[in-house]
Amino acid sequence: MDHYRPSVGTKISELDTPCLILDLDALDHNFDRMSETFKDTKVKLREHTKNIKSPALAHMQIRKGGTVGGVCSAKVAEAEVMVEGGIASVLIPNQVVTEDKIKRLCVLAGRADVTVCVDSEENVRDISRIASNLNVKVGIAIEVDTNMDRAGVRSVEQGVHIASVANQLSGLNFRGVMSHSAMFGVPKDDEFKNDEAIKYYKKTVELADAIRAKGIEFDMVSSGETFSYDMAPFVDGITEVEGGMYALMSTMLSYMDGHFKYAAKILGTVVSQPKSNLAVGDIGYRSIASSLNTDDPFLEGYDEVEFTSMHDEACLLTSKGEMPLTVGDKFMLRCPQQDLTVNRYDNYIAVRNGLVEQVISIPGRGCHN
Amino acid sequence: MERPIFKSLGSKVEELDTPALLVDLDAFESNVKSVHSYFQNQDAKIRPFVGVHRCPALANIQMQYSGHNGGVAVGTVSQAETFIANGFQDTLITGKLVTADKIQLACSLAQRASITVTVDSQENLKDLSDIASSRGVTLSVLIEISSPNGFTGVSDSQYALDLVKKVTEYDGTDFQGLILAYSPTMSGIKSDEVIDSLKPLLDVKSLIESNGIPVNTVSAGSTSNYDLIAKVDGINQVTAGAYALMDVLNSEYQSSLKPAAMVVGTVGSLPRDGLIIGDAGMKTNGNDIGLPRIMNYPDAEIMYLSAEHCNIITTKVKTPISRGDKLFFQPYDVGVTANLFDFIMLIKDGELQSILDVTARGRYR
Repeated sequence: MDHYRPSVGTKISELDTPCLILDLDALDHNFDRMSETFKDTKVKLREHTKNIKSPALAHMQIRKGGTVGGVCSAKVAEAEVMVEGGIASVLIPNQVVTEDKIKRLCVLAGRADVTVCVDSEENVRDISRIASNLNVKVGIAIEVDTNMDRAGVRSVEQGVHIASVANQLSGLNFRGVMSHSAMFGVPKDDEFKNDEAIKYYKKTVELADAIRAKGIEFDMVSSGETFSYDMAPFVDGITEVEGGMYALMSTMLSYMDGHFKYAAKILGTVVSQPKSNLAVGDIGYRSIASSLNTDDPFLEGYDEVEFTSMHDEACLLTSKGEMPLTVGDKFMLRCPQQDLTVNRYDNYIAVRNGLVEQVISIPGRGCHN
Repeated sequence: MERPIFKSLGSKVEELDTPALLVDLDAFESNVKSVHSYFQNQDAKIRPFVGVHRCPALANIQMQYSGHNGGVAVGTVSQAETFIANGFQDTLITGKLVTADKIQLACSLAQRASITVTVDSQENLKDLSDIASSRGVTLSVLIEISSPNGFTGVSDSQYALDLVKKVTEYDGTDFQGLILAYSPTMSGIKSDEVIDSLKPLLDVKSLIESNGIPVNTVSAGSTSNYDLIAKVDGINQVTAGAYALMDVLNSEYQSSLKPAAMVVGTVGSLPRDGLIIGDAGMKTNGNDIGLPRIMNYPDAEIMYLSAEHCNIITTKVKTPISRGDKLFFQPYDVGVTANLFDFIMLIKDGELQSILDVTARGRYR
């Protein structure tokens, strides 16, 4: 664990590195953008905390408005952190299947409004049995696969069947339908992106309508993500959007940077300059996180310097002419996929106008269980 | 912080809360014994690079097997802080310390432990010397020599000699020797390329010695090439780390070492024929530079990992798989994976033996 908590007012140039910077102006912009989008619409935001891992940040968005007043959390442990941090409503858009973890989920459902997603009858029956024994009610939503070939029911009939079972069993509150979609790669234009978004929303609503046609009532049709958020108000029947990456942004979503600003960055220091046009930085993939699907991080503020390569604990920066960075200089990298990055840090060093304003803990870090 | 359900000691691995990082004690000790006993018969000794697993409890087990030179190596000064607090008196920091904060911390640590730093520039050496002498401590210095596939280090031998002379002149620094700049383990490197890469290092060693300055330590190597480098005349230290836990990346070179580190996940969904979804994705496997290997279903194939899920194609798997079944993954780069967990579930004979803290996790500074 890292306990780095620099004092308020420290200049960015004086920070120890590598550290995770949270740009508060950019964060405010992103939270405002969401609250303005959803404050006067039927559909509301349910921020995904897998990206921020901090109840403090979740509360900031909820206070700004436009939300359902709750969040999404990827895992039971992450949901616990949010409930302990004062969040009253959590949707877990994931399956919880083992006996002990279902018990843990049920205990949490005794303390807050908790909904979990299912894609099998067997799982629904397990949750019902354990929740009934513990005398609690767990919210149930049917996960439907849209385009990821991941978890989720593959047909309307299957979804309706599981919903009918869930609606009759004790220990459960049938809440509705949930889906998650992905934009693989960069969309060729906004029209394509928006068409894709609407297609996946409609697929989710299709299942919701079919379940309602069986006389089953519910209030949640939860879908969407950062790339599709602004299309949700145009699709009747969607009640909430599960955006997460918008809050801190990633270069993998650079096509959304007209909507959202980069709020999470890794600050590094040049530690060696073996050639006049080459600088070696102290940020490696272990400290910024990369994946096979993402591009390199983006270096801010130096058009003439190229991010050349990344190694476990170092990165190489190359300039066309004279290298403007020398040993000891600081530089800032935008994250390729920020949720992986945040999951590797214990604190946000929150800055405004070049100075540390606050250090915010990341209690959801490592909550994989 | 990680928040697993802590199971009773003696629980079967299949009963553990997932995702979890497991270390099989027998495989771990077998690897350590195998590699360390190799060094017992060489002039060169191993200095375990414990920054790979970041766990002092594992490092203590490593130090119980002779063949090492009494010290450990880490990547950063904040990792050194952790290991020194856990009793490691001789620590090499391989990352450069160029800011006053880091040098000050190294000097604080040097008050109660032996700290060795690596240097490749005169300016940095001056800063280290100024701060160390003002603090009344001495930092041991290895001059870093560039390697063909590396990126830091001195490439001009005369510059290296000048640096060495300055180290010996300055207060607060003590010339210890030379270290070959780290170069990443890359697929397909041949033995003769490994040996050739040492030439600049050994040339600088001769130059310094011919100037009457003794070179006590000459350090190079990693898990992928420790057995080749340890035999080279003039090399007396190898800093290897992944050998103890092993990973997919190093298994190409060290196939006799056993996979001791595993991530265990649970099958949460079987949404269609031939596809299972598990709960161990990028946030627990860490596929920064490569995909993990599924150990218990060798015929299964990873379709893709997302942050919290793994999509696995099972069309070629003969045995039936059910919801709740476990998936065991060998990490691609164990240095990435160990840094994702706060706890290591130590396993012996398939049962939980103890739970270890990954104390230096997240210590990038």
